[in-house]
Amino acid sequence: MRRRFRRLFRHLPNRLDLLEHEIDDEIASHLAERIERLERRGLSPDEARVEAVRRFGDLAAARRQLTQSARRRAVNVRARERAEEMKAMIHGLKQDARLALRTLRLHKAFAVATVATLGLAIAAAVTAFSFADAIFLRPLPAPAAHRLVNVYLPKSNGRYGLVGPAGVALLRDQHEVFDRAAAEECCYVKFVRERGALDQRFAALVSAEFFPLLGVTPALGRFFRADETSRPGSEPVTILNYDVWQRTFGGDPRVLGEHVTISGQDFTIVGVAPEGFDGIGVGRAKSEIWLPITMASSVGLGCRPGVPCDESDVLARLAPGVSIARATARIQSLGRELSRLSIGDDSLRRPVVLPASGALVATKREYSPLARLLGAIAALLMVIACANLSGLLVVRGTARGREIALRLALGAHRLRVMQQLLVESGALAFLGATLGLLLSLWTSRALMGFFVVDSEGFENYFPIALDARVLWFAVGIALVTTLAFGLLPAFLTARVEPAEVLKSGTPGTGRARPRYELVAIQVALTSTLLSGAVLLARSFTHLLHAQRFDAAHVALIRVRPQAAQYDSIRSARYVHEVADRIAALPGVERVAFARGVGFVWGSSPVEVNVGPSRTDTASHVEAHFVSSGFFGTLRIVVLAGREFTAADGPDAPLVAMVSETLARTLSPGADVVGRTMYVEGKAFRVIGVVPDYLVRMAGERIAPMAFFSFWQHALGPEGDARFAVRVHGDPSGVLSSLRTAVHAVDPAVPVAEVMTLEEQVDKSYPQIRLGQTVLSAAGGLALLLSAIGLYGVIAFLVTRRTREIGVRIALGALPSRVAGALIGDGMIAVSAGIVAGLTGAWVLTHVLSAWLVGVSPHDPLAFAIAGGLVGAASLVACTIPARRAGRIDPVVALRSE
Amino acid sequence: MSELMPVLKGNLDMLVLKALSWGEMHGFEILDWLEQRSGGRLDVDDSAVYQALHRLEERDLIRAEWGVSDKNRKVRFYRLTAGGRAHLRTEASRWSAYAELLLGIMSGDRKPA
Repeated sequence: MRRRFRRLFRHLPNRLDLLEHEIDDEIASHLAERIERLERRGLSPDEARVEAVRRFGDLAAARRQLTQSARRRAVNVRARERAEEMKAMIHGLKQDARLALRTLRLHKAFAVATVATLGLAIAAAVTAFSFADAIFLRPLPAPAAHRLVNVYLPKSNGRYGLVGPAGVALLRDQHEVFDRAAAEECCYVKFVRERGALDQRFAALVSAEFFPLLGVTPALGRFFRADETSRPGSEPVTILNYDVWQRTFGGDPRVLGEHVTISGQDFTIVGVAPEGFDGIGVGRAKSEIWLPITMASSVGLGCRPGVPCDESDVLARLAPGVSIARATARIQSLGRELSRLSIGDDSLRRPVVLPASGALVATKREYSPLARLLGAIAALLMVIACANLSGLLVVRGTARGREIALRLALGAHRLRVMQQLLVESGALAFLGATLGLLLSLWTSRALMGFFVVDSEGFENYFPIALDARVLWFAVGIALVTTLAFGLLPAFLTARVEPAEVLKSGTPGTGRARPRYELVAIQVALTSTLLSGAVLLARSFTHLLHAQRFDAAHVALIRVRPQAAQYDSIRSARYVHEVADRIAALPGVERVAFARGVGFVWGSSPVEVNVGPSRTDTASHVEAHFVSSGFFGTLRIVVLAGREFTAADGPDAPLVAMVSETLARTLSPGADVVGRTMYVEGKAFRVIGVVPDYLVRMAGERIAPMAFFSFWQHALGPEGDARFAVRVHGDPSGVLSSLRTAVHAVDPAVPVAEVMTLEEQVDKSYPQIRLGQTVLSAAGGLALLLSAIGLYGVIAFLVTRRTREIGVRIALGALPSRVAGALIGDGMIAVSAGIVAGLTGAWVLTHVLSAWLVGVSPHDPLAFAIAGGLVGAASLVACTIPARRAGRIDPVVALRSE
Repeated sequence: MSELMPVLKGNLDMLVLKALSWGEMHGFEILDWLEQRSGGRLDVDDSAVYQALHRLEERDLIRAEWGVSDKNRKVRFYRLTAGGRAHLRTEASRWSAYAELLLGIMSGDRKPA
């Protein structure tokens, strides 16, 4: 304080009026001297004054010059001083940093524990953020990406309706609002015949403005011309993805002008997209081939002209100077028309304009709960880590109390010591953040691994990357953590009274109490996390060994004769042959198949109206078309009656089976087998009942199902079949022979989804799997951190109270009693934490119900397991240092300080 | 020739530095010294000297400090810095080399035939 005061005085003349005073003083004393000389030579005082002024020169001008000069000088001096200060500060910081590193090297265990704790927590935070970034925040890979927007028509159920190509055309004409607008439909799987081979490709339908809007230039050839995407059905041109060009066409530049065939229609390749450009279907698929949106109907997709259609997305760029708010306001007047063009009525008449960042809006909805879960977990881990760190640092701070007291007594400024401690924390934070970032690369990739391949065997498009935003986030987190856990010990230091500490013999200040509260908090959070983890784990076990069907030992394969343009009859013949061929393979126990509208084990999107009489067909149920022996193959018990056999063919009487729930609806109280069921007006005889075997999330209602014999109905437009093959032994071993055998029946027909049933179920719930893995990892980590924290507290106590314990033992206390007392104290805090944590979990786990299968969010076993784990780990953590207390030799203890 | 000669532009700084090489002086003393050394023939405004002094101070060639003159007046004393001393040496040698050069040209006789 004193120093600053003095500095103030030295700088006083730098203020302008004082500068001028100085100059006036100088001039005045000069003139006085001159006048005196002149008077001595005989001039009168007045004459002398006049002469003195004359000889001086232009007084006013001189004053001005001199003042300016002085001012410039002052500025220079100030700049120089500031540079000096800056140098001194940097020098101080460098010193502190060197000292910090030396100290950390001396206390390696502490440093490693701290950096590891920080690194793990920061890795979790960065991964969670990268995920959220990819889905919500990342701008599209285009210039001026912040000006790109989507337009949607919000529905009453919270979903967003798409605008449709006619609506896009309307928006394109609003030149004062959007200076460019493109239509985009993504990502349809089409079978594309390229150079003879048939391949599954993700196709995107776009208008000509799409590529220019994203600012990309073709790697080869050109993009669509405006006239190629303006009139329906005329221009069969296509653009390839760079990777597809490399892999399938070998990067051959002569590919321009070649044809590919999609759904029987030939398309000419006119260009190749640049390397690394995969479209904008984040969360869905990489676009492998682009078609003009006007060719949609030629490939069996999209909208027919003149009919209301809501199948395309609009990507537009705001006109210069137009904000999102203004754009929204401007297009409100078009709301009714957009609604009519999209769905035929004007119920969705309030269009919204949203920034086009992250993934498509449907994907955002889908992954939003997961993003929130990850964020919550990361936050919890950060809190636990900070609690741990704070505890560690306080312990260390008090242990160093003597050292600090000495330094203060020797004249170090308190602020300077605090600065040094903060630098130490900063160094730890920096190391921790670096470790965290490196770790996050690995964890992010692991995260992506859950989404890389989906349940149909397709590759997903999920670019999680370390970009500028994520880095800034990591830096921010590191800074916040530094302040959070660095300030506490620094403040405690500020309160150290050197004399007091040096006088007493103890190695630390007498002020720090054992941080039981921190331990309790950590234990509580750990319990919450573990409860969630155990719940999800139990849920997933249910899923895999799902009630009512046996997922083990089953291989799957899907055939798609429709993609080879086969008609119903030819497709049926093909499916027959495939079934026979598969049944003949070695190791195959049974074969069954179902119409490929949904997974063999899953729900069907086909719905029909059924009822007990021709007039009463009120029930809306799922329709499944299955082969003979279907239920036997999946080991689903037939509760009553029988299942389909080969006799239930196209010429036999129409038969059907029902699920339990449907049976109760159709025929409450009585047996439904043998009764007649009317389906869309036609009469079927019910021949059997099966349980509700569909996998269901907690809280989901049971869907009634009706089953029909595969051969009694013509193969619909989907035309394909999904096979379930039960084998002896490991199903993954037969996959390749399965594929070869089926392919051999007819190479022109593509086969897909060659995987085991367990795999398919596993991949159908990536979010559950992910949530479970993440929660388990986080729970495990939290458990470790809490245990370390608890250990630290007890160990510290033992050290602090060595003398007291020594006295006790010398006076006859049993070592086990002493240890027991310490353990007891610790476990009290732990118990409080467990109770609090489980209570919190009780309240929070309903958040997970969307992901729970077969377990309630309040499953008592899960909570008991979680509590038990935490209790056991804590007990171990307490016991180890407590036993040391019991072994204290009283003589040594009393002698030492 | 005994008329008053004005100081050529740029030379005043050098002269002031030279004065100060004799020791610490305040503004009036410097003017006095110049008058004595030039035999009163150097025509220089007092203000010009002060401007030169402040200029030199800006460039860190001299340093100033308030003090009290032997007449008990509050005056600003100036002295050379190490940089100023070096600058004076270079300027002085350059100037004399220049003067010698000019002298050589001007004092030569008619061009030899």
